[in-house]
Amino acid sequence: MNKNKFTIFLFLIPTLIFGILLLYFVFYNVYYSFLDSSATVLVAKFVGFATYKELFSNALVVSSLKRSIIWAFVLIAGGNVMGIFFASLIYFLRNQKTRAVYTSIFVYPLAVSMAASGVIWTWLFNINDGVDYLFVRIGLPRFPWLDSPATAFPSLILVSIWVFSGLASLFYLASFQNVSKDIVESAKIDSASSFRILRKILLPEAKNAFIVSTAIIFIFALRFFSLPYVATLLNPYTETSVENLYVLYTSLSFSESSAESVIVMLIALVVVIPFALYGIKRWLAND
Amino acid sequence: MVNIKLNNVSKIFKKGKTEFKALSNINLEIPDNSFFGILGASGAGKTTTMRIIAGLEAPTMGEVLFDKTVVSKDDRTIIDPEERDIGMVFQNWALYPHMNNYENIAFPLKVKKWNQNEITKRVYELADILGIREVLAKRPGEISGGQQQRVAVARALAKNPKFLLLDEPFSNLDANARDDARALVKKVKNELGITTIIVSHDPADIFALAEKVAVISRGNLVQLGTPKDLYDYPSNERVAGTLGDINIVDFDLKEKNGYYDLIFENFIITGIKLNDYNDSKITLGIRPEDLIIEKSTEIDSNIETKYEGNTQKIGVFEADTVNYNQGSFSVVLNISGTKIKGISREPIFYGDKVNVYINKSKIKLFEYASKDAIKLNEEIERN
Amino acid sequence: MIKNKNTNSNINGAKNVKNVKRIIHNIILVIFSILWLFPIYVMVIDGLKSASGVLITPILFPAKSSLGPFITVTTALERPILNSIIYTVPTAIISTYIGAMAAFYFYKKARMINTLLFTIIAIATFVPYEITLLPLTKFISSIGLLNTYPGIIIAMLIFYLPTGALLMSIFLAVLPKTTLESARIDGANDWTIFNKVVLPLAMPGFISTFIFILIESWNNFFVPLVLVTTPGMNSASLALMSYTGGYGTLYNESFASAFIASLIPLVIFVFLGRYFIRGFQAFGTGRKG
Ligand SMILES: Nc1ncnc2c1ncn2[C@@H]1O[C@H](COP(=O)(O)OP(=O)(O)O)[C@@H](O)[C@H]1O
Ligand SMILES: [Mg+2]
Repeated sequence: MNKNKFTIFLFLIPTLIFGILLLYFVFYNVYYSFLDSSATVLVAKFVGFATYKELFSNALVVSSLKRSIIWAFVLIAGGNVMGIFFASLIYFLRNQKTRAVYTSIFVYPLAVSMAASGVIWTWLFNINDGVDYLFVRIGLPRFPWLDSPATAFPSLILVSIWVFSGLASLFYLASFQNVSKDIVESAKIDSASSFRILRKILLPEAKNAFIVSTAIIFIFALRFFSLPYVATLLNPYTETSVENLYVLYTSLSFSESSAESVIVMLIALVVVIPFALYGIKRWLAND
Repeated sequence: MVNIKLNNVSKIFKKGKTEFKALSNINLEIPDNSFFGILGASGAGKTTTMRIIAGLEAPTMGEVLFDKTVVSKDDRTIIDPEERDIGMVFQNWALYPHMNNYENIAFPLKVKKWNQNEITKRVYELADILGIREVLAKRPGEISGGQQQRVAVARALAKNPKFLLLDEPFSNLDANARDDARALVKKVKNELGITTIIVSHDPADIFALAEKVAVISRGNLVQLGTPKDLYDYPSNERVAGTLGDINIVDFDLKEKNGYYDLIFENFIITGIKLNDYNDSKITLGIRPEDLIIEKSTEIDSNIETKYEGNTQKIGVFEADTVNYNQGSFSVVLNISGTKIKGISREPIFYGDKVNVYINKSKIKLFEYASKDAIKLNEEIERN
Repeated sequence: MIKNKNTNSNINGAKNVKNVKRIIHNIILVIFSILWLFPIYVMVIDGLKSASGVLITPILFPAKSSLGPFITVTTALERPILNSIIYTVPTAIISTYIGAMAAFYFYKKARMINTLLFTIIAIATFVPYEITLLPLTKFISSIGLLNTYPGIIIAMLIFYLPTGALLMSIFLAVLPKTTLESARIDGANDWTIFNKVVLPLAMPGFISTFIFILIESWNNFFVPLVLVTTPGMNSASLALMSYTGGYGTLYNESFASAFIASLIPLVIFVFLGRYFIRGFQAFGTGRKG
């Protein structure tokens, strides 16, 4: 190895160190999930899958895990639909400036912290002073939002759709813009309706956007922690698996927390690995 | 200065499972202080050759020597490009867009840690030679293509490199700027006396500049010689085409008293002597300027008195299409669908009857099967 | 095209239909924009309400404005916002710069083993960081940095360095190869090429990545939640917790605090949002540039 080849390797080292640290955390979880470590156990011993069994028999854990997954899927559906909706509304605008303004309006919630969103929406969902105030005035029934088991969870999903639709629309907009302008122009000359252009020309090309936005939304959905945590301070109607981690951690049941981490990680990997491979393939193909 | 040598250099590019042989067994020696040209069609492997000399690619097999030092060998770069001390002008010039032109030229010197005064002196010296002093404060994006090219040349020369590599340096210039740029490169080369290698697909670059030329075709070195040798005696049909416009036509052979007639429809060339040629067909190459065309009048002029050299009248044909090009008219004859191009000094119009003469000393004969050149012996040419 | 037999009225009719469509198109956009901007609206009008205004007006309508709540929460959030700046600015600079170095390595060395390393980094970008709760806390406390600025910055770097490397890889991929090669010919080593050629050329991508990481880390709630043990070290998003409200609390301070805590990312978004958007698009589509 000559001098220069070594120098260039130095460029990678810091990132590698931090990357390895992260991997170490992941494996640490796997390791601890097979022990019976907790604040009350002095010497942890190997218990195999016992902790997992315990977790799966804990109704609260199972329901929160279920909620995480439901959240992810509803958000993926809602986010993609709204993303396509916004992307097409923006795509058919002619003026570049207007396009940029609307794009920013739909994307900005990403810049608002989830904690702040939690604060804002908790108040907007307040059944006396929030949007219900308006509902009552115009003769609609009062909606229970976070105050009822049936609506608390869907209400938070709505907030998350507010946050992520703009992001999804970016991916769709990017893929629409990749479609040759000539094709769209000639369809317009043939007086095809915008809806038809969308359905026949733009959407068939949006497969990549769908894959990407689905994968990214999925990962964000698994990360949902601050929103439900702040919005409801561990309201049992909205609790997700990621918050459960925190509950288990603060109650110092280390192995349970690790085991649940592993489960969340596995769910994430199922989606992330194909996505990462897909991304890399594109990255290398463009070479 | 340095003597560059390529020994049996091959380059294979692998993309996934497919392999592509871009260069095969190239042997070249570029003597110190020469102006060396590498000519070839696009995709022939010229840039690859240059990148191997520069050290940006390693030869898959074979070795590159600078004088007696092996700089790369068998897929290994032994001396990195940054240590080879060369100047290179890329096909797209590759100037640093974020630096102004002064900084562009000064960059190699800053890297070498020259002091500020020396750098300034050197940059201005080069800027004066190349006539770019007024644009030094501007960025590459703000000046013309011709000026960018000069900046690139100045940057390449700044550190007094051992030799200079020019990769299609003129291809991004318009025709006028190209002539100026060629003259300038020649002047710089003469003033600085630096070994220079120029790579181009345009024979005009080579004729204007190079003392010696290597012709590369599909990764193979097909001919080496002076530009004039190559132009007049191309070693095969492809080299002939690479060096300039040429009509290539397959003729039937008919023997007559030890001499041959070359027959293509009513286009007949007589009195060619061939040794040991056993095919019934032969491929002939003739450059348009060696096919002389004039308006046919009632009284046929005596060609011997009109044209010097070994000129033979072929006959009277009809002009099919005519193009005017820089002082001459190129006239295309259509002989049963085959287009043959010649040159006239006077205006000719579509459908005109024309006399066609051929300069026999300039015809190039290739074996019909292999398309390799057949040596004509002098005596016959003068016949 | 318009057929010959089309009469004038037909053309006018088509024009009218087109106009109606355009109006509907714009109305839909405006309605959704209002819905989307609604939280900003309530943050501003309710953050500006006095205590009496809170009592006599509902959340949705403005009252006589007073800077009182903003002044109160700004005083309270001053320290957390400063903390957040201390946590996120170094995180974003280091992640982007060091990430760009790694990206440069990958740019130069597209070999099998590096594809693998790159894959690991790509996956690391997507690890749901909450799952590292336990090992992260243990690691940071074992190096004695619990509840310290360096500890929190290191924790953030663990998550955002891979992001920086991934994003910068995507941005570096579009750099003109010959320009970097010409720097080598000019005698520059990798370090000089990186600082003098690569970074200036990739500056838009660099800014985009920096902003992306700055906003993401600013809004990171999790890392400070587990690593901060004293209120004095709270980040802005964490400090918001005390304004969550509930029955009986006055909402004006909640909204004012949400606004103040989000102000920096929002201002960045308004001024440099196009970079943020570009970064996200590159992030998702793997497009070069
Ligand atoms: N990095 C590469 N990977 C694969 N093929 C390449 C690479 N560089 C050049 N080639 C191929 O090698 C052949 C010669 O290329 P090049 O040397 O650039 O030709 P030119 O004579 O036009 O400069 C071309 O067919 C080109 O496609
Ligand atoms: Mg080339």
